[in-house]
Amino acid sequence: MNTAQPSLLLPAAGQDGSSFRASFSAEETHVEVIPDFTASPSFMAGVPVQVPLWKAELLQTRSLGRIVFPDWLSIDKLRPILQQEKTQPLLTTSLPFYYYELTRKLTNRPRHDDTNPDVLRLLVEDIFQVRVEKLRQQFPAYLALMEDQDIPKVDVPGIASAELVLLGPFLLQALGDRALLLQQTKTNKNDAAEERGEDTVTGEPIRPKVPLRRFRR
Amino acid sequence: MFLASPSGLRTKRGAAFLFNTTNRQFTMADLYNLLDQLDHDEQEEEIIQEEQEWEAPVETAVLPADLIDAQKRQLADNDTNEDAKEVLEEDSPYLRLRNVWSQEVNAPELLPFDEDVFQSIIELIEDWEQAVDQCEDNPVSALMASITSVQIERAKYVLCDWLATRLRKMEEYPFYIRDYKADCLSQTELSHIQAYCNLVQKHLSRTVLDHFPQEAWKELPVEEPNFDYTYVFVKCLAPTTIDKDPLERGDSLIIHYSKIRDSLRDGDLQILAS
Repeated sequence: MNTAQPSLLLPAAGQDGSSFRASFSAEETHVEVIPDFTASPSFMAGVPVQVPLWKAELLQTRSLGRIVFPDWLSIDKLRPILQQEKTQPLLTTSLPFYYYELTRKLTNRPRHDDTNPDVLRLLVEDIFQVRVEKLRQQFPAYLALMEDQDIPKVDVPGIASAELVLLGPFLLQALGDRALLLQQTKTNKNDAAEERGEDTVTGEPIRPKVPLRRFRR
Repeated sequence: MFLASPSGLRTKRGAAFLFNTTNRQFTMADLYNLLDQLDHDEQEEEIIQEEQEWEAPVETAVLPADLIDAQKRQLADNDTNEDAKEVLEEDSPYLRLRNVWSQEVNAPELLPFDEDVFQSIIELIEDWEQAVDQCEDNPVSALMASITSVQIERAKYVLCDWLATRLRKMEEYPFYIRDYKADCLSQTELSHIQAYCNLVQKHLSRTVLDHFPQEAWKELPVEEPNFDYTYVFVKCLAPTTIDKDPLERGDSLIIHYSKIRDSLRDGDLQILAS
């Protein structure tokens, strides 16, 4: 039985869509931290410095500094992005690649300044849900694409890490299986046609006879 | 601080004791043993001279290499020179290791082994471990040492995951890789795959193949990986064309693997990895 190549190699996703590899890579992004100590040359008390997130988290857990939220992580920036996502068909490109993982890590702890971590977290969750839903709605469009070309390419501008982890393995597997089925119907039709002595026909696309069921989590 | 006792002032040595205090290190005067102290003056002077030659050690924290990188990066930021910043960021072997790792994890087939990355990351980890061992006693150095040890653990994780992914891919199609893709392997991987193939061959021969009646069936069929139905997410790094479709820098797309194999090797595209 020939099945499409299973994608064992894509990052393993947890129950809530998280992935250790994604979080690991997200921890390498640089954030600003204000240290409380001085260690020449780069750490001076009170002076903000760019360090990788894992270092910033280390300092924060030891109460040696505090992390400054990046620019995009503010209510003023995220609300318009949410509106934009809801109204426009394409995914926005103004959010960094690891926005979801970064938000989860940065909003975990209670903070004593103006920023509202809970509100930010809810906003980012909403943005994520809207983006995932938009991608899911484009799946039938991908199927339609496959009818026109032999080997299609699909544009996904602005996709981010969390959506990749959640939808990536399924999407690649589905496209592969679809190509396999298309190929097999073509060969079956060709075999049948040759037996009858006719010219070979191109395979008919497989159309779902019932409306596609929407998967909701 | 000293108390002048009337007897101390009168003796010559006592006067010397009073007036020669500028170059000394002060110790609390021992009132009960003042006479003893006066007697020990000369010995103290010798000791003091030796002590003056000793300089207080300048406190230097042992800095991990990437703090120096961070400093360079800050300087680059101040210059607002984006090219310098990019060059600095790309020089780190750790960054190159992470790139190679993310490509390897998300690629359907075994990619060529990058010997430079491997050697440089091993050296870097050894340097870091030495820095941790040599750290001094003060709390600042201890903090830097703990930061460096976290960095060592992260680098080791990436390295081990990279090698483990390669091993898993190798053992999926061992005979095909041993025969056709030996140039993608390192020396240790090559010797491992040869031993592995021998073991598998022996096992299958003893259990199954030798018992076949017909001679023609006794050959081991070699499984080849099939990428007809494999799609990948890719990101465009340099403007290129695929099937006469122009792609700009920064495009992301899902595409059939066979189309982009060559572009991946050239470096125009990169597999989009989470």
